[in-house]
Amino acid sequence: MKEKILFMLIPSIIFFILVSINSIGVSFAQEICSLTVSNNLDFLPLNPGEISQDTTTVLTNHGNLEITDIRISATDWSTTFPASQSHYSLLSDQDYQTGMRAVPTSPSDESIGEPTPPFLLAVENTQSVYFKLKIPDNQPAGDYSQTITFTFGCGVDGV
Amino acid sequence: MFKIKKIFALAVIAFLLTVTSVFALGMTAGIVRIVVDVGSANFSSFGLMNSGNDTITVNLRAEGDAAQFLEFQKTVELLPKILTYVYVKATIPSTYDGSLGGNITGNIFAVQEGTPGQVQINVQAKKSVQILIPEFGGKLPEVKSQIQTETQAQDNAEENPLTGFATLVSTNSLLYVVIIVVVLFFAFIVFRRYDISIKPKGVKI
Repeated sequence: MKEKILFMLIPSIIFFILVSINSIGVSFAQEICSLTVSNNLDFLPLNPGEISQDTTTVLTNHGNLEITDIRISATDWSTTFPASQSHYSLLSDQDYQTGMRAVPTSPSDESIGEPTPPFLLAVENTQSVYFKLKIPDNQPAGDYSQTITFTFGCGVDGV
Repeated sequence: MFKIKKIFALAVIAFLLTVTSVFALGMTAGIVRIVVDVGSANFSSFGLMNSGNDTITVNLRAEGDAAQFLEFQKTVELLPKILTYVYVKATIPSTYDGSLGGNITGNIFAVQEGTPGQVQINVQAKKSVQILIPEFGGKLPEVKSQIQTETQAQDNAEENPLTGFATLVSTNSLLYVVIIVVVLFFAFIVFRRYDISIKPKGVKI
């Protein structure tokens, strides 16, 4: 019986010690907002005039203070078609035209929470952001790229 | 003994999965306020933190009316889980005529660039900056003493921004290895002493 208990207990203790060593490293004394973005986006190949499916990235606040505002902006697609061809929403499966907002080129344009600002991201909370892309009609075939930037403020001076 | 090793290996693998790299940029709260007399300079600072597990580089730039008066590092390397302070120097030349008033505002942006791809994602922290020039009416808000306290707290935190054991682990990654070796050694001693394998030596099944 003793052996069975040890058999189960020792690996568990080792695991929890190791995890504790890892997780303890994120504690800090200062008030900090920390924005994590899960991954890059990929709309997959699309034809002219076609609208993509939802592709998503997840925002997380790993700090110890609520993020008071998050804004989004983007560059034009390889300077050939506008950033606003990318639309985003905080809800999944929204209609490209009626349920999503065009990505602006400047972060000062709008909070991602609009039309109900301010958008808050509490400590250790996550928020998925869904994107769709519509390729302009008659767009020549090619590889196009875009840079999307999430801008955040912290505390009383939120963006 | 084989099963014990297998379970132990799974525990280590599970641990390694928990330390998978994350893409995260953190920033201390509050506004950077700098009181400067005409013809002189003054400093303030704000903190940036990399909450991920790999060292990252962020690029800094200033925008707004205050930008022309500010000096700071344009690139900062952030070690994992270490709060790094960026010192901001505001200089008001003696020729300043007050055209921008005594309260000049702007923003400093710290950008962490994502991996290039079809859509590259950047994370950008925005820090508001105020330059206050007393000669032209610029003055601190009523919470002056609170700001000073915050500045002192920042100075203290700069030396030791993390608490407890995190300080040791964050500043010395070798400690991770030492701890793991100690745990493995401890486990080895226990396994030897109790011989808790499925088929212990000397026991015929």
